[in-house]
Amino acid sequence: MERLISIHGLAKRYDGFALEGIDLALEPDRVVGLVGSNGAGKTTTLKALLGLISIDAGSIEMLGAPIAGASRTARIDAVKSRIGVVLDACAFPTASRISDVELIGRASYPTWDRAAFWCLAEQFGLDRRKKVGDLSRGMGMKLTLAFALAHDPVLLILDEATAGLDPMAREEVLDLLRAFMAKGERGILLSSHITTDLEKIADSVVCLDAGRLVFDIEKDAICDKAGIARCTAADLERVRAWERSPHDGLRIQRQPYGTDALVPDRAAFMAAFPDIVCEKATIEGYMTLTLKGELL
Amino acid sequence: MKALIFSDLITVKNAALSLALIMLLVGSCCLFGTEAPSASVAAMTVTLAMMYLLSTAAYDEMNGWERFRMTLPMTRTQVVCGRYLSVALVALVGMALGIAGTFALMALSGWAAGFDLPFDIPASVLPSTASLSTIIPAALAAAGCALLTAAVGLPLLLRFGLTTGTRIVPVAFIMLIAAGMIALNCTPAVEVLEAWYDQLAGSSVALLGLVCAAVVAAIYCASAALSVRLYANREL
Repeated sequence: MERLISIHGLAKRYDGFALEGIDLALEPDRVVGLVGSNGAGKTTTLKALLGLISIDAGSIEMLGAPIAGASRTARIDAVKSRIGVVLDACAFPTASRISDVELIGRASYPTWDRAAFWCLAEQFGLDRRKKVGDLSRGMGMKLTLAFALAHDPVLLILDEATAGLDPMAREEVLDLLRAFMAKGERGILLSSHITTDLEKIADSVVCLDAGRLVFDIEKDAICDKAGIARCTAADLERVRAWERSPHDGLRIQRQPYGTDALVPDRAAFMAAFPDIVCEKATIEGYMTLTLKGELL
Repeated sequence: MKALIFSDLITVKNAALSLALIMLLVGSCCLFGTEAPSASVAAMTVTLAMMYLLSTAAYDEMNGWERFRMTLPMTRTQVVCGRYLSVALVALVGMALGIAGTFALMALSGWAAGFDLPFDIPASVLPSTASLSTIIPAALAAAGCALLTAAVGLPLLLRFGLTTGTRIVPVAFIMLIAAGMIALNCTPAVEVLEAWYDQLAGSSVALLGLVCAAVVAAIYCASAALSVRLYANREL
């Protein structure tokens, strides 16, 4: 099956901000997490992918069809019929009722499954007579997610989809996303500040910062292989003298109580320094140390 | 395109009752203020079409709906054409409702005339004087005016949105009116139009109506083509 998303050399320039050289790929049966600080370019990347903004350079293919760039040929409406989108807020008109939202979906998507929508709505506790404007932020996100899933898409693009949800609801959403992936040949691009959600579901993590791609790495390389060592000043000097591969860049961040060091290979580090506490890295810790840390 | 028309109508559906009441209020004021049923039907027709146009533009800017809508399976051309079609459809509905509403108001006047009221109800608003030969052309002319107004406003609203458009659209109208007045004063346009009107109205009022409808349709379609180009470059 063709790649679900293929972005090469994406560039978009605004006054005071430039997205440059973004490469991103999403294969079938994969979940890619997109992280970065506020203003890093995550939403700009997603907007370019969805055709909401033009691009200044690069190319974008979605579901194997070129939709942006010099080789653009595809009818984007045909591609969009196979994707589900959840943006960072519930965008349906506030005066509409949930039953109206279902009608919009039915008119928009040839593969719309009315029963699936109402099943999800019931699961999320959405009353068909309720107005969109009366929904809380979390309920609005659930409505948008139900809308995105109800037409059996092959690709989901989620921008902060779990923001505003309580922990139980977030777990419920993650279960839905796992069930979506279990259908096979599906893919999810999930932009989120809630990195613990990405640790539960993502296969790889792409990090942007100031419009540049910082890393594109397998999640297991972060959560299973990498580590964060808690070093004292003396420990740091020993680590500095450690003979390791020159490509094992250690990034450190000085804290009031010591120094945190990002270790690409936790097992090797613990073998070399069994007395230094080295915890499993989290996506948040990895990202913080990569973006804000200094090279040792 | 069907999806866009549908979503536009659905989003305004919940305001249908208030729109209908406003139409009736406007129609009543015009009917009893001018004592002319044709004015009432024209006002009601234009009111519905213009309120619909502004309501859909307002909904576009709420909650990021316009941006999210572009993630649905529709192209920007379909969005624009769907909006133009829905406005035209509502103008037609406005005509029908305007005619029905005017007759309803006149029937109400006739009923009220049977009571001993401290004021006289003008004969021109009573149902006995109702004439389709004046009311229908008034409705058609009003729908044409509404579509011409939409033809000027829609490209600007689609390109800039309602918030910025509320500043630009009135300026555009003033400039158009000024340009039109200059054209009428400085050219023999008035004489040409008068001769053309006399010729057409003298031969067939229906032919005059058809020609006017064709002109309105041509301008409306040209406006849609312009809007497609403007909206294609809009960043959402």
